[in-house]
Amino acid sequence: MDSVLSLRNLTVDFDTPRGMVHALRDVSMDVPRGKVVGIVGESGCGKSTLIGAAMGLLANNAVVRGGRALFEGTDVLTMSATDLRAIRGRRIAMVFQDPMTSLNPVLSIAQLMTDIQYRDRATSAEQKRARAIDMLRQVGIPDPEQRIDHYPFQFSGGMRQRIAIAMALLMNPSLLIADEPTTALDVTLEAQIIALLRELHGKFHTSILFVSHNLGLIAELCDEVVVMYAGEVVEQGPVRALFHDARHPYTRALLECDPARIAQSTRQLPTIPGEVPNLIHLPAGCVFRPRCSKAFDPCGRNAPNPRPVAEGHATRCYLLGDD
Amino acid sequence: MTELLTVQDLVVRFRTMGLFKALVRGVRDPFIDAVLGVSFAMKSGETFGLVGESGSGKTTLGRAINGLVTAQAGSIRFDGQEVLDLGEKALKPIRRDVAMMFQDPVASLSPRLTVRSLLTEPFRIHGLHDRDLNGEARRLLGLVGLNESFFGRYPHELSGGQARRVGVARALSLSPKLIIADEPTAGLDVSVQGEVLNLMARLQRELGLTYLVITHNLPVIRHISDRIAIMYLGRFVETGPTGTVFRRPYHPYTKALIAAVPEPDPDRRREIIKLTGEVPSLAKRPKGCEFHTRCPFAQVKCRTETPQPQQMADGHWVRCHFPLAAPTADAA
Repeated sequence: MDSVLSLRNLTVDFDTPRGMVHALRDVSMDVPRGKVVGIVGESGCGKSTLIGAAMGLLANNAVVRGGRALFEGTDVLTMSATDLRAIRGRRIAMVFQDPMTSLNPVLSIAQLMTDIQYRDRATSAEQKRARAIDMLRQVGIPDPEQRIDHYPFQFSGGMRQRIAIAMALLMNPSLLIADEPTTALDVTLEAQIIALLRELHGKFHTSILFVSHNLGLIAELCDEVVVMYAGEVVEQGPVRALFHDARHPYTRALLECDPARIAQSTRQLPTIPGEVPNLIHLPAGCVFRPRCSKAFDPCGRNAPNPRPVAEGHATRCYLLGDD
Repeated sequence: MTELLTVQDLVVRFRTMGLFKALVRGVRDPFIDAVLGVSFAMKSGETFGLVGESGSGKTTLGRAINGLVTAQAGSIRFDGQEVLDLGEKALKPIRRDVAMMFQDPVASLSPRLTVRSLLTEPFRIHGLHDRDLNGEARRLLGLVGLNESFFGRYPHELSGGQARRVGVARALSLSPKLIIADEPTAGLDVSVQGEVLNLMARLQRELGLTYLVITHNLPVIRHISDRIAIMYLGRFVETGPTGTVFRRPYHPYTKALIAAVPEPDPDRRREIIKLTGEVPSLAKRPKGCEFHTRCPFAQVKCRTETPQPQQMADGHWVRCHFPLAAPTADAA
């Protein structure tokens, strides 16, 4: 299958004063062209490291132990800084969590949106401005001809996130990474932004890597889902399979914990006992074993390898048979 | 059951600019009403949910009840006593009975105090020097499922869930009657969120606490509250028993809020009531019904006449000229 992004056995450590943090271990996943892939997981599961690796934006103390991060066939982990700059913003674009801080406050929207097009030498400044205005209109900024000369602080949170999306899509990238794009917004605005993303995806067919901890948004927007836990992909598959036929105990527990999925009102909500393991000293065997209600003999021996459940659906769990 | 807290026509105003600036700019009314004419009562032992989007005034209302911001008009009666006009000194004993759990679990704990100092600080503030402070701290940690090994830790050494537990323990320290919990689960992962809510429910049963929970998280408030109020621009637009408000909302805003919560099921496409635009500025309140600028059902009357609260058959109060009648499709 044609994939825009494919991570292959990616393993990343961070060298910290307290020891090696094993942030990503043997992560393999794909973003097929034209699809929306969701990454779901709780704090510290490695979502941000994964995005960093995909964009070649890992911190200085990151050590890539193995694996590849292929963007349209080229490994971004071995790319030169110059080549990376050529794809970031043009071929891979990103929408960040907080629209209040992700836009430079001292530049006007017009300036911000022309700056992204700096590599496009053939186009005149007027054309770039016209293109920016057109994109602002497409994301639903009213009166874009006037508003483009305003500064970020003159826009509300929802509008700023729309502008961030307009900026990301301006160069028609093949991959859009959206890192919790609605966490800072109220529910009614969140619904608007998700509807906008879906509409734009229908229009531009951009592949989207959508990172969220909100299962509702993942269900609504994504074609495929990757579930991460403590630096590993524990389960991945088509969205229906993940929500209706989850196989990994962590995925199941995560779904059970979501108060939005519990129809009957209750004061006693399900939880996952225990805590996320320390990524410096990982438990032996399966990383979820200390919190898993289904743990049995083989789980303590070795970390399970991913095994197929159905077409495109795989999980790392001994419940589906021995290695 | 007796009413523990009664709030009548409460108004909290904030000044938006100084006298001089207002004069220069020709602004005649340099104030915004963050809370405008709110009335409600809470019974002892119940959980009341305040729901609304950012800027709806829910946090301000919570802080006004505790005297952290001064209300300009109306009345707040706690346990039969009017607290609105009390000075700082007279408020102090009230604050033993009304505890706060602040929004950010880690940031609301002083980074320079250990867990032990954090838990004993309320006793020192209220001059309870005769108490066995170590014993109290131990008791409080036990209540929230932590132990003495946390005594020497600083807030940055705690996980989000642990910090929240310490926040709960601190709120419990002076055996309050009412706890105002501002976004008790914000910033917590779903697996930890349940733990904190279960803890709060257990403490409520064991200690007979009354909770005022302020949140924008509808799936959570549906489970943990007995009654809820939906706030918009500083007013209650709808109040009622939680179950029926979710099943059968009368106000279009309530219905839109509920519909905006994404269903965690890829096969269920939600019925979307599209709210266009964003919450208007408090400085420029719309005329008539304040929701008419975003309401999909707005009519001429809504633009000119302000709706008064009216009582519906099932105990809801709603501020709308044309309350919705049909139950929502999502009759859970």
